[in-house]
Amino acid sequence: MRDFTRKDFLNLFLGGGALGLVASTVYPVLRYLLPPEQVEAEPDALKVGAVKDFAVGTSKIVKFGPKPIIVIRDVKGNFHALTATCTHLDCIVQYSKDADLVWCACHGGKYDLSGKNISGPPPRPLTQLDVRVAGGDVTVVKTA
Amino acid sequence: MKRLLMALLIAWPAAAFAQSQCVKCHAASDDAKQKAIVKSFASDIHREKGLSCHSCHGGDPAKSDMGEAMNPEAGFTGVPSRADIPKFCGKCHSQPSFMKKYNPSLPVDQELKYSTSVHGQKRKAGDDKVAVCSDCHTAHAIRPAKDPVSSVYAKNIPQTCGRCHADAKLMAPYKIPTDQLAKYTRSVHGKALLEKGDSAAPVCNTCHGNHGAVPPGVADISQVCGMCHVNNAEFFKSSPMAEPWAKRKFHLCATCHTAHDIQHPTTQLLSSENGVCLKCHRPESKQLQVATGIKSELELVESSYAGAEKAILAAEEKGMDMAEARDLWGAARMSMYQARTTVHTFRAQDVAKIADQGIASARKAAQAALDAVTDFRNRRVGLGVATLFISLLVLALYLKMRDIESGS
Amino acid sequence: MNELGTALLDWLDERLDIRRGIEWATHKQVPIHRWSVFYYAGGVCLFLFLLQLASGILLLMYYRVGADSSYESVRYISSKVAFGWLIRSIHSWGANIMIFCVFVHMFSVFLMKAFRKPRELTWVTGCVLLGLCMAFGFSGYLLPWNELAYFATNVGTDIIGQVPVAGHWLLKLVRGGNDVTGATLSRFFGLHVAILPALLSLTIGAHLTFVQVQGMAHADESPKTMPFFPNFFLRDVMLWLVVLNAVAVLAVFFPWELGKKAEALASAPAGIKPEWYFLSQYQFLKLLPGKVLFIPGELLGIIALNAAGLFWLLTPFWDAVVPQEKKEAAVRLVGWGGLAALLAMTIWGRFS
Repeated sequence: MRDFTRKDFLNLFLGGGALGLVASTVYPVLRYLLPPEQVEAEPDALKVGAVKDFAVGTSKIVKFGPKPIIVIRDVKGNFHALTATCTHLDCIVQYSKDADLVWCACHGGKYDLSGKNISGPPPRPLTQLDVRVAGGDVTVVKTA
Repeated sequence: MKRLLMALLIAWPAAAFAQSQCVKCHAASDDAKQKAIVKSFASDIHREKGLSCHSCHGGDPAKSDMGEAMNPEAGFTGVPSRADIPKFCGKCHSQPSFMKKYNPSLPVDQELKYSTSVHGQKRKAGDDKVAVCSDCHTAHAIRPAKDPVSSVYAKNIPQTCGRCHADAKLMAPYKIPTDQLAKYTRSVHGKALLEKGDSAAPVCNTCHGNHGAVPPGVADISQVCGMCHVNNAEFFKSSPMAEPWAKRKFHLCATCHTAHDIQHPTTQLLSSENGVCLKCHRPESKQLQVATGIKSELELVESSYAGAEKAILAAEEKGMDMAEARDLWGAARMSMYQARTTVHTFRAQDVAKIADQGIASARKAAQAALDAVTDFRNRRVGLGVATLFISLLVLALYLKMRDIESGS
Repeated sequence: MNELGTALLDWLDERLDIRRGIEWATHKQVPIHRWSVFYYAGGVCLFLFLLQLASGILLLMYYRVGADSSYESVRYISSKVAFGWLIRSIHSWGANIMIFCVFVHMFSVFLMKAFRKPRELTWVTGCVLLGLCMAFGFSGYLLPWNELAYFATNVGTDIIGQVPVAGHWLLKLVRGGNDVTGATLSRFFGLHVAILPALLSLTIGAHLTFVQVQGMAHADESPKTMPFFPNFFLRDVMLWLVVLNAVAVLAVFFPWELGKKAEALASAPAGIKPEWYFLSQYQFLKLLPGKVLFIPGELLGIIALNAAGLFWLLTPFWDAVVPQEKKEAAVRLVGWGGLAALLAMTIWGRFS
């Protein structure tokens, strides 16, 4: 066995540093490539359930990406989807079967089923989303 | 061609107005008041619609002779007396067939409603000082309520009503308070309208009516407040409070919240030391215990909400993306509002159920923010480790290079 | 260890004649003088390009182009994906530092008169590389689809519409319609991840080949030189590591912000300005009056800027025809004058 020379030490030093550099670049990259548990927020389309889950004259609040939306099956059996955050002070709106409209319990704002603000304090309409019914499933799609 | 026609249509009433003999003489008059009338009428809605002096006052604007133009026998009515003003305006405004030519959606019941109002009743009884049409709408600068410069535009209404109702001298004979304007201005509604510019906030006429203005009765007030505060009114009606309230003829909402000085409600209203419950209940009573329970539940959701906001702001200041925590925080705020509304059931468990949801959301939001701050620190540590490795490698390379160069 | 290395080298040498390459690299000499430090600028640009390539490919794993998804996916990358914030910040910082280094490289080459025969084509490809880098920056800026990017792109592409005759057509071509929309985003994305990388790689290939064929400028006349391999190369690598570390520090301490999502109906944020490397042109165009005689000022400005760019591109050719005794003064005047004007306009644009 030969002596541990300065050159050997330097090579070891060099190798160690290089290994460290590789580790500190490869580790973040591998972690990055591993997809996160939570799938991407704000999808373009969201399946909100089966048609049979929605009785006529009922509604359901679901999260579409980070924002709540209200999916309504009106008294005639048609589907509607609107953003559920009231444009007045951000309360969550609800569907009223009796009046067949959307209203907000905080200050009594009312919207029709296309989202238009029709009475009370809301300054702007709710945003309408497309609802597609196919194969017994109800899917909400962002309006282009 | 179309544009020319439009221009003509707009210019025509102005031209007709300018050619009127009434305007020619009154504008040239030495009387400053007459001049001012002509000037202010230029922006009046009636002139915009093509009406002119004679449309209301009669007379013949084509005649240059004063006697002929203002001949009472030819229909000149001159200045109406204050007592006659409602009828004077009602000549047109109470006639559906006439009004429909100008604005089919404008109501025609103002004169009728006015006759039912306190103003109208007193005037009928011979009081000449009470408000008539022109006191609120002005005489010659009348603008529709939707016009921001109108005296009856939502934001200007408190001042318009206050012109008389805040004047102690004017109100003295009627023995009514004059602090409504001051109280309204500092109330939650006044602040929303005047400071935040929320034109949906209620003004005097939202609760009192306009042409048929009367103080809301005990039975009406829950209807009036309940127009906007729907759930609060509904909850209250089904609460154990509803019956004794009705029996004692309490003002449904105003008993606790006052009438004009309505403040943003805080948990102090439920305090066992100076809260509103003490108006009827003794401090050591069972009812006060319920109030204290509700109060502490509300305070917990409020403090969790505030705590979450502080944590989120701290994380955002460090440049972390807090969008998701913000959503949770928004959900907590929602529950907080709902819990406050649920107070009107006066059932502690109902309040607790909703408040607890808010507390849970707020805690999750705060946790997300704390995690982000931890992550922020970890980033720095990671960078430190990487920097160490890179520095070592650079140093090793430098030594290696020196070795090579000294050898060659 | 050493035996294994030699064996591998032998194996490669038998097939690819690799030792001759290394041999050649050791003979290539880098001159040593007081401006030698600028020889590293080009290498740093190359390294940063590779870093951009790597981080860009990583970003592509999660980025989804589209008016509905661009902003959301970038937000997802920087908040949900592990180390996504790092990759994105490195890509953004790397881009800016790279353009800065390209400027340093270009002006040092100009002032050292390294563009002269036989290096005319190297200079021209270098100028093309600068243009491609700026196109990279401009197209990449829009991809997060945030407010700033949206309005900057609106303003930036507006200028294209000023081109006489074909302006409107060009504007439509660039925007994929009359306005900046999701269609523009798709186009810029295609440009940024397919067309520009291909063009830049090819041009860099040519640029590097030219440098290898011609060797370093002034190597023949310099009294002192060092071998390119391993002496200069090791120094290069050391500098690259320092640059990598600097980018990482910037990415951690000043993570690139995402801002608000672009909205066509929102009003433009106050004080909106282009990226710093477009500031000088922006400021120049802003200074011009609305009309000069009867020609729109902006059009005149665009013509002037293009003429200046062409003049700069053709440096080796006009330099060749300038009389010998005036050559040095001419280069000095154009080089320092150009640099001063660029700096002054950029600073003015930044603070006005």
